[in-house]
Amino acid sequence: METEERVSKGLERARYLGRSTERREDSRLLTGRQRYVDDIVVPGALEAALVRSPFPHARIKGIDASEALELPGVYLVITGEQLARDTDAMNQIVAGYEQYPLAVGRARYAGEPVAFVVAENRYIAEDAADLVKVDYEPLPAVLDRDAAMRGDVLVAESDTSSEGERFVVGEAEDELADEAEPNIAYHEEFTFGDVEGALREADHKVERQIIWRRSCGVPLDTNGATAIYEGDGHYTIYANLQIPRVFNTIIAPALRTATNKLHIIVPPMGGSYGTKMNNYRWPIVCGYASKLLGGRPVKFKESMVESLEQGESHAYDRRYTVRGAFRSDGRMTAYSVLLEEDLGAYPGMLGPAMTLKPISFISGPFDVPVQSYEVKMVLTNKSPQTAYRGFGSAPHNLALAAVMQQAAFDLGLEPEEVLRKNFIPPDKFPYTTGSGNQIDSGNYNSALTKTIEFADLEALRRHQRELREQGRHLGIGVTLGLEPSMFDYAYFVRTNDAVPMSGAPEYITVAMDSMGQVTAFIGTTESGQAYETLTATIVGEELGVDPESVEVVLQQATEADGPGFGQGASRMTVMLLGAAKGACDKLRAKMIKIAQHALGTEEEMVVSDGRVYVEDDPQRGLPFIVVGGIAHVDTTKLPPGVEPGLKATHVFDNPSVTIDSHKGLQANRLPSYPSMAYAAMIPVVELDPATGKVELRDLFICYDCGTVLNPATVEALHHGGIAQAIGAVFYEEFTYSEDGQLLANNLWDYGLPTSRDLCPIHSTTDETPSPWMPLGAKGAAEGGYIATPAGLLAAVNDALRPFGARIDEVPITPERVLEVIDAANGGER
Amino acid sequence: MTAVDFAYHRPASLGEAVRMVGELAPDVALLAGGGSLGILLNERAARPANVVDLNEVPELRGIQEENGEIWIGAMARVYDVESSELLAELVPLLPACASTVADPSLRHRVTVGGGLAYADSSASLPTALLALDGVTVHAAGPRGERPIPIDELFVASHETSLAPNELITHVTVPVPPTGARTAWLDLDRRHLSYSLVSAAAVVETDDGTIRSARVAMAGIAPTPRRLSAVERALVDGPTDEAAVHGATTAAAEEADPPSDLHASADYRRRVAPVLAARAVLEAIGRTGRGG
Amino acid sequence: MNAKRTNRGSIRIVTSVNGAALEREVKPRLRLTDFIRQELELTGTNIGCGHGVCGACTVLFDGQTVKSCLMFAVQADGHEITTIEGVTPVDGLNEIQRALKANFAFQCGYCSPGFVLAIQQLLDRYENPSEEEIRFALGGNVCRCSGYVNIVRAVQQLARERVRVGA
Repeated sequence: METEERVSKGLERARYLGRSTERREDSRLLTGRQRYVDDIVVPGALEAALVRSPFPHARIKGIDASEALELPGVYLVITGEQLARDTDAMNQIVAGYEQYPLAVGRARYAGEPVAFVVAENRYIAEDAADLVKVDYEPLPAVLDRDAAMRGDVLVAESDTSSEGERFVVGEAEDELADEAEPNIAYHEEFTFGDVEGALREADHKVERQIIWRRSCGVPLDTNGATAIYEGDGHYTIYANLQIPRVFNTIIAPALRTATNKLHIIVPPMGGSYGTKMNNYRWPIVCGYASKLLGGRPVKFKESMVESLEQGESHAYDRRYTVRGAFRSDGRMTAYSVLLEEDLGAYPGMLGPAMTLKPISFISGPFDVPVQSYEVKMVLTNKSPQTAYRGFGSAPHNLALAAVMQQAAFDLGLEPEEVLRKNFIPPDKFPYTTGSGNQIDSGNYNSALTKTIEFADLEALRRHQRELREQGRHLGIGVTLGLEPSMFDYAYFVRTNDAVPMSGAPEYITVAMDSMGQVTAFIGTTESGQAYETLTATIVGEELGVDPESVEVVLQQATEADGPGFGQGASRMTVMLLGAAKGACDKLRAKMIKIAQHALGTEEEMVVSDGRVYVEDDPQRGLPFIVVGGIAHVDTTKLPPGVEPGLKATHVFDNPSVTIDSHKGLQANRLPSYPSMAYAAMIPVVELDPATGKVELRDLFICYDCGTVLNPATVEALHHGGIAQAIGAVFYEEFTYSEDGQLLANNLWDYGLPTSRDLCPIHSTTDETPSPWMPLGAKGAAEGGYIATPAGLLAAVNDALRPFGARIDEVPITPERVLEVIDAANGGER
Repeated sequence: MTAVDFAYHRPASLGEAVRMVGELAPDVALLAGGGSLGILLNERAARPANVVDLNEVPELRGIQEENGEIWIGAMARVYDVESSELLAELVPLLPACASTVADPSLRHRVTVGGGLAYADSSASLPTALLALDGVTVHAAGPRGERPIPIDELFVASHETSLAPNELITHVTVPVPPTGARTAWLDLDRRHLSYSLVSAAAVVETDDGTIRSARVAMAGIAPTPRRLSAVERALVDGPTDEAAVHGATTAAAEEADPPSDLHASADYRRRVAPVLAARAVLEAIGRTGRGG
Repeated sequence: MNAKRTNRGSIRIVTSVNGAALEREVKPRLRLTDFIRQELELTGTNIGCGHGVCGACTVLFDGQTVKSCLMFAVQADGHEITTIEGVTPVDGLNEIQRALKANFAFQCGYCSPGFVLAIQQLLDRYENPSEEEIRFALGGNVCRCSGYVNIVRAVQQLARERVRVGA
């Protein structure tokens, strides 16, 4: 696909948007000039190392750091007990749980940090960590969700929630169940319509149990922080923390200071994919350490092994029990989901909400209003979770697609027939789902048809038949999945009544200086999305100036000109469009006022091409440099009542807040995702039944994220998402041993795909604009990851079909493939 | 992520190296390519008091032909093996195998000797060397030089028959006969990781019959291992796919594979015959995918 | 040459980094990556996994790509090291960097200095690499953002240009 030549539909008349503008950030990245958190040198900084629990569950009877402290160059050893005394616990998104950055009293997962050693440099800190003696009393550990739910071992011993308050949401009321549910941090059931009735009356039922084993983003840049205590409750903290303006509300109280005394500086991050939302532990501990050391800067950066073992950097450890009711013609009449999620040892801030997001699209792209969703959030003695691309959506799509494919197989239909039979038709948009979420737009048939033609499905199937005659086994998947974007916080905090949050606005400031030069100020962190380039293009388009001339500043949390959260949930493109339009409207209005007054006219004027000029007489106008000059340094020429300066801030409210139909979701703390991108795909794999190895042959995909502002960057994001999906489905798993040790604790064993581990990716696009979002754009940054695993599993199960076998778990390993083939042979090989 | 303190020694000649190792043993680790020791040191899994760096010992480098044998220095890099025109012509199994090891940057550093001394179950080049006839590993220690037939080198997982005060100096590989056909095959879960199982085959055929066969595998035992029962079953047998697959079923009994997070011993035992057959069939010019 | 020991257990090394000769005292266990980033303050080279997989720490050692996290600073004695800073022009981008930018090859950039060097090595070795050869040659550099598609495209473009120019 030649992205250089492509211009987005709907933006053909734009000057800059809709083109594949090169990223200005690349000049820094490709030359090594980019400064990530570990590149920031703070003079005099000490470095830290961790002491970590070797046991998945153990009482900490005592910590003796005396020998460690005697080592030359060692300054301080901090334990959980000190943190519990001198800092406040970190908020957890489920009420009733408590966590400190270091284990207090008990270690609850293998690798959990127990002590923090500060020394002259990391080498000495590790020498000292070796000398810290911890007296552990190992306790029985619970390592899988069923054992956890049986309750022989309680992970959160003294927490009230482990008594199992159970919230059941019927159509009308909440009911509180009395029975204790050990190790279940939260349990809720959402029922929309008579699901059980529909299942009873169905011509055909599909029931599947599907396992998605834990995997996550694993960016190469691990979590780190350098903190400097500045006195009087002030801290300066450099950290690669995503959404610092939410998570500073954990750091500040923990350090017993105020958020406005916390100067968090987030440099560009070497990848996040959501995972760095949880990097609030090291700012707390480094800040605390710096204070104890009288303001000496303290730095900590996780090694990769540390990140995997204790970075709380896991996600999606799921068992789905899903049921679909079908008519014999393939029409689905109801869909029911039970999700049992293994959150690890603490609920944390993110894992729980990731189980709730799919409520916004329970039946995906299918018109199935009768639906239910039950979620049990289970605690075990494993690493807690962090946010990861899609925020819980990819596994949900996988389970749903598996049911659709199974229905097709059972009913003797092609998969695309079943999909088409159930798609929400284009004329039903905006579409209200069973759960009350309204989806803006979609033309699923179009994307599917485009993919089928692009892949030449007919030829593929012919080829598949020919190969089968030669004893070779190709698998072809046909799926379409939604990729939600643009979130709102209300449901995020459903599990904790004490935390009020809703909406998710975003600001921009656009300013023109005395020389007419334009600078835009935005409030986001950056981990590869090229927000500078994006913002410059948007503002350039608005003001009719070359984006190359627009400077963009990423403001840090305490400098921010307005409310906002920054990157996450593929929101920034849409939010920046909305905010920039508002700010530029204000700026333009003032510039025109200034120019009218200077030229002594009341005629309509426009702002474009570096000038403000009379619309009907373009010769008469003023260049930006003059208008800017008047505003700043020649201010006697300003119109009466107009104050000097040329700067406008606008806050764009999240569409989920402004769209009436979403207000109910807000009030009820249900997930509101009004904007759904989507992708149809046809992956092709080949299965070797002698070894179980699956080779990826090709992946054809048509993605639709509405109007696209920069085709090349969006395509690149999708490539990355697809690669992560391939990793999750075939290579990546945080495997634990039977005694609770993380075996996949390094990159030899945790399988990030390399350039040799993928297949050719053939992509094409559709653009179905959103009626609600500026310019019809939808979010795209998580794209490719959310919809792809479903297609890959479908392809493998298509290959397994002649064997009468089926695989119900990811990752798909060669051994697991042979197991299911054996099972289909009645246990024979 | 950092190593413990160690004393660093850098000999400039083989004699100096042998002397140093002799004096410092047993609390000494030999630094070759760093592919294994570098990781062990930095994860503090290895805490030797002394490290002897062999990278500046000229006598340990090189690949050359001497008296009908190929002489490969212990410090010959896997990349040197991969790119050696001499080996491509005379012992193509070795460059074919070398090109599958890890990635180019690692191949620039990891060495032939280092792989042999580490004796890991999944080691590629050591497995290929095991499949070749007459390969001798030459060691040097305080009591002089000692040739070790490669069949006698691997004792247990990460354990060789080298004494703690010995180091490998070079490997000699008799040039295989011109009729010898070879193949190297990996079964990976993912390319940049340790293979699940691998197979090296060296086969001579004559008019549809296998005259000689040597098959060695990685990942099916605590160390690289030759499959003698498979070899016996292959010799004097036909070269067709069904026969070869039939002959390699013996691999399952000869296997004593490790279990790890990627595959169980049971799985490795099960696929061993498949890989062995495919390697043999590839060596003799067939596709090998039928069984 | 023999390791030159000093009184404090450090070793004196004489090395050349990006063409500049320099002399330093280093502890044996100091990782080469830490020497480059902290001692020499060349922070373009990054630490990813620290155990030889991801390639974010790639530098050239006597002209060959190596993973510097598996080497120690003492081993640089008598050798030449080239980092990303050493192949970047004073102002602007080199030919490889330009092609990567034009092809939207990278996103967060953490892995990109390693890739630039790996690509340089690959283009120096292969005149007209096939896609498979390119993927093979870059198999030791992990990129978590990009899915490699545009990186490969950029390399193919560079290879075509080199053939055209007769490089």
